[in-house]
Amino acid sequence: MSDQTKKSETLPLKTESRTESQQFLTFSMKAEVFGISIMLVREIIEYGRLTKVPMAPDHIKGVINLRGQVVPVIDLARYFGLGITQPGKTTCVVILEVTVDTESEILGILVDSVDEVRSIPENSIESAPGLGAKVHPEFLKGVGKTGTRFILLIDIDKALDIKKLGKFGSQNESAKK
Amino acid sequence: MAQIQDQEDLNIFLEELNENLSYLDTAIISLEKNPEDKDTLEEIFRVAHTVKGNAGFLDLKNLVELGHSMESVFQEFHKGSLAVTHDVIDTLLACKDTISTIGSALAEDTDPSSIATAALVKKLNSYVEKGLAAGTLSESSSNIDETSLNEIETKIEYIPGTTLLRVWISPNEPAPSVRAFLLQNKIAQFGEIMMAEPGEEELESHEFSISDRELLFYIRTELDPEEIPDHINVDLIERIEVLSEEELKRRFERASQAGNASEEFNRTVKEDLSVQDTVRIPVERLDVLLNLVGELVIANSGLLQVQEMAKSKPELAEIDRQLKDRVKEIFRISADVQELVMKSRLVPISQIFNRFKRFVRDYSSRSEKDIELIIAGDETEIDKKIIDEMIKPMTHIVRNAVDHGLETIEEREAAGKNPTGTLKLNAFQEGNYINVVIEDDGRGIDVEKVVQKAVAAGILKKEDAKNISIEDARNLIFHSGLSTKEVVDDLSGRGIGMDIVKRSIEVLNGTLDIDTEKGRGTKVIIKLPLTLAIINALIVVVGDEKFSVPMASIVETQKVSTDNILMIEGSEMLRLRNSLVPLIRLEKIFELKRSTPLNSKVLPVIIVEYNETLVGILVDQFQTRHEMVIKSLSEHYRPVEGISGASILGDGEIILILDVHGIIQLYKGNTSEKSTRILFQRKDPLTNKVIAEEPEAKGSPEKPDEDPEQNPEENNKSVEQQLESENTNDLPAEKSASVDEITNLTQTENTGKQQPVNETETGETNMPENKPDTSQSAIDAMIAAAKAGTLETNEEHDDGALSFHKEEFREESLRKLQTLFDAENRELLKDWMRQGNARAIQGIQAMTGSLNIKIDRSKGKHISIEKVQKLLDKIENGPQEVIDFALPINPLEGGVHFILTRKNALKIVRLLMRQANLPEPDEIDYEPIMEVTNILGSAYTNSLTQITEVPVEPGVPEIIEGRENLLETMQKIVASQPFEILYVENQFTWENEDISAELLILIPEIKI
Repeated sequence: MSDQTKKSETLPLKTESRTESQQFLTFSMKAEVFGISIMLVREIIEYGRLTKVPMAPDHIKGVINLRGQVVPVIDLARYFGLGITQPGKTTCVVILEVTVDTESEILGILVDSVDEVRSIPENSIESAPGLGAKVHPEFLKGVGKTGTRFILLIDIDKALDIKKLGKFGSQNESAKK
Repeated sequence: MAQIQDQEDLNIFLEELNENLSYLDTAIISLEKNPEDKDTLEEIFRVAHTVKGNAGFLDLKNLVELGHSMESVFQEFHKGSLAVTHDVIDTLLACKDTISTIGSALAEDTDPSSIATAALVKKLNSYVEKGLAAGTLSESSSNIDETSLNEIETKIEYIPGTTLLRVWISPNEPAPSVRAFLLQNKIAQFGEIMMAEPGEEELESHEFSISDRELLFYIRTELDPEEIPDHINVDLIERIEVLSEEELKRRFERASQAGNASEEFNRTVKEDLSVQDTVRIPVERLDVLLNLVGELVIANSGLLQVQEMAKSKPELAEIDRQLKDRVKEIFRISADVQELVMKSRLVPISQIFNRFKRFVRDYSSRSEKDIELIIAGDETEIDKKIIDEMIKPMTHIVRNAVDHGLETIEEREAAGKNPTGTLKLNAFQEGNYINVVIEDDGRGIDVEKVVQKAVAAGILKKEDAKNISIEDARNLIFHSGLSTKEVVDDLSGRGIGMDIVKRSIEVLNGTLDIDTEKGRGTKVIIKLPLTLAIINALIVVVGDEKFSVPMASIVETQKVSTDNILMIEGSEMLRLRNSLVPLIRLEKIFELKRSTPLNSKVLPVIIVEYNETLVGILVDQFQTRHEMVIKSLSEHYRPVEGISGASILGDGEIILILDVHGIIQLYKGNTSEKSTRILFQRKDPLTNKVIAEEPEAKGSPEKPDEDPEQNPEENNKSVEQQLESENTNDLPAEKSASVDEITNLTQTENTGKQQPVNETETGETNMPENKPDTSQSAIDAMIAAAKAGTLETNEEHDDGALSFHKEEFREESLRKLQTLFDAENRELLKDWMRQGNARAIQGIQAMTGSLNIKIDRSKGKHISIEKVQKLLDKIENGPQEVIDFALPINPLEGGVHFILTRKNALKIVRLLMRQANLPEPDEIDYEPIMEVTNILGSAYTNSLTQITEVPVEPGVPEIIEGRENLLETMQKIVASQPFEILYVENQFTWENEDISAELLILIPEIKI
């Protein structure tokens, strides 16, 4: 498939011993580096043909055909209020498998580029700052520090509150958020 | 892992349990009717046995016990020693319910052992005892308890010279067949096995492992029977029993006495147990399979491209040929697989029908009704998903039939009917559809009563009720909140009404019809597609997007000329074979972007049916027809209204599937929001009554022929009416005369001022009383009007078609407008004013239901901008008291300004509120006046289109308060481009209140 898929397969894995650590797929959206638990990531695909859904809220980019399955694609940056993602050469769709009410849902999030898989020790994850952050702390699990970089770790359950996010129809409600 | 395994086992168990339970339900009931039906009895026994066996596997002791007792009762039935009585059947049904409760407890992860079964078991056992006592065998000297004894009798055989060894393998043994093999080896050490049951093959089966795992060994041995158990020291054995030769013989003879039938019975049962040629597959797995087939087809398309490449190179001709064959083959195989997968989703409709056997039985015994349920065609197969979706609506219809439809025995006898009512469920295939018919011979639906209720509930206006057609009245059943029986008991009135039933059938791409005759019964006919998974759909292009429309929802497709599209009351209507149908533009509904303007004079229209009325949906282009596999958008991502799902085309592109009814709902929503946001007319039927009863008193004396009471058939036909009044020739003579009397300004002395010559008086007219409009919202009214039959439209006006997409039309439009302001011929302008006023009054009457409105004077002048200020100064109560409701006229950039003083505005608001039976406010509420403005705006723009053939439509109104602001706005507008300004002064009486209002109409000045 795409170069991006290959990339995700051969991502350099930085391991840290001793303390408990979690693995995150890091990616950038609107010049911010985000991380999402690798456990949720099913695959990464190239941003390609997408079918728009009429009257869907702005953050729902449309639906894609993932091997016969119709999968919604969400512009997370737009949802976080960072602005609309403009598809470019490195734009990817990260396919996530999230659990909602015991049922698993497949959805895609649009990212500017995929970075790498990083192991972040529990003790270097700090709670998200309430003030001054571009992204509402409600959407975050915390901020991971690796060296001098800060990675905004997305709390999938809160950020992708699928019931709020997913309603194609209730455009106004979710747009206000 | 182990836990997941357990969970899976549990799921399988529950699934089987549910299936078996639903079978038990119907079988027990049919047994009650035909106690002699041995086939059913055998089947019930088998099922009870399976339930028991499965329960044993999960160690559900109470369920095993219950199942066992049930089995025993069935056995007594079979022997004929126990009569099938209502009482026993009741107990068995109660057992079934208890088992079902145990199942639910398991599913909900609560403790199933807490569910009491002892009482039922005791009751069952008492029947069994009775049966045993009644039977030929009463003696029992055995050390084995009675029920298991009973079981032994039926299982054992007598082989002379053998001892019977019965061994039960522990349910904890994961491989019972291995254990049996070990046993065999052990036994062989001390005796010769003459016969072993079950056989080797059966030992390996799943059935055996979930049974009570009993092994029978008939052996010849030197050992004393009592010593045998000590010789079998194999692990995981639950129990061993040894029957000596004599004991065996005695038991066997006793069993034979019970009848050979019993043996046969058990043999059949055993055979059944060993037969297992079906597997269970979750529907989701089939869906995945289907997806994969789809992928295969797409992958194959890729191969086709490779073949295309080879084609172009002569040296690869052989490869090209071979590749072509292979590609074809794969396509064919894929199609076969797809079909097979589709077929495997089909299940017999008996899955639904059978549910009602128990329901009807219980209902009959609980009520004073005797109901016979007749089922036909229950083997008809239909998609599993449809079955699931049909349960609720079917249940509702059946409830309605037994509860509202069928009468009590007494009532039926009084009516000279068979005291037993009949409920018939029938299913049959017809082409690609399945028909499901639910028919009862009850009292039928009292259409009159439905109409009365509709009136009482304010759904229908009293005067409309008088003239309602049978079909329309019948359709009222589908209106939410109507139920013909006052009493709501636990069997009906559960909230979902027939409207929801109908809707849920429509969601399945099916249709629902009702045929009812008072006193004779009701027939509900449901037509469903064979499968939900594949539809035949038409692909259409709208703007930059593609959609697919299920063929099932399309009545016809048409290519229509834009000349046949009319603008009526702000909504587009399509002239189709002498009738008008509402026209929906998908691009508007879905707010689609269009990169290239649509400028074709002939447009494709899909005609669909909605509530037995046709509605047109305009698209840009028809493409191909496709069979497509429907994919639901994922569950938590509910699609927008108007979209029922998605499908993937051969090239992998996703196409959204339109839900036609959803689109109409959206359209209705849009329309009513824009034009009649506050639907005063819906509120109180009382208001209407008062108005309808005394229109003459307030009616205009010169127009007695317009009395609504005398033209009741026209009440429902607002559009028709409107179209007629647009045709000036249809106006009553008096009205025409009053128009002719219009003089230019110098002759009209009303203002008491000499007017400059450049101002042209354009119209003054006394408006006649108009008829009340329908109580429905704008779209409903239109639909009703369209439905009411062919609408006469005047040919010369029809050409004012709407085609405002083209820039070049603008100039042409303006040229036409020029004639309007021709100082030599003022007829056009007069016409416009008169028609505009007529429509405005009609519109307001339609909106409020108030007839008592009359224009006393309406005077139009063609003025200059300088005059505007003067006119505003003239307005009473000081200049700050002015409010302007400005409504743009598109696409001309003109505008209608509805100017009121605060005092008059408040008067209007209070009047509107009063008519809606709402509290009258002390402050001005702008909302209602906005509605009035909308009506005025569309009245004037529509008549402008009619007269000048210039396609215009009103925009969204805004409010400008205060004289200064108004002037400023005006000046800004006029600064941007020169305008012709019309000033219309209106004096009208509305419910005895005198109101004056001014209109300023701005049309861009014409320079060609």
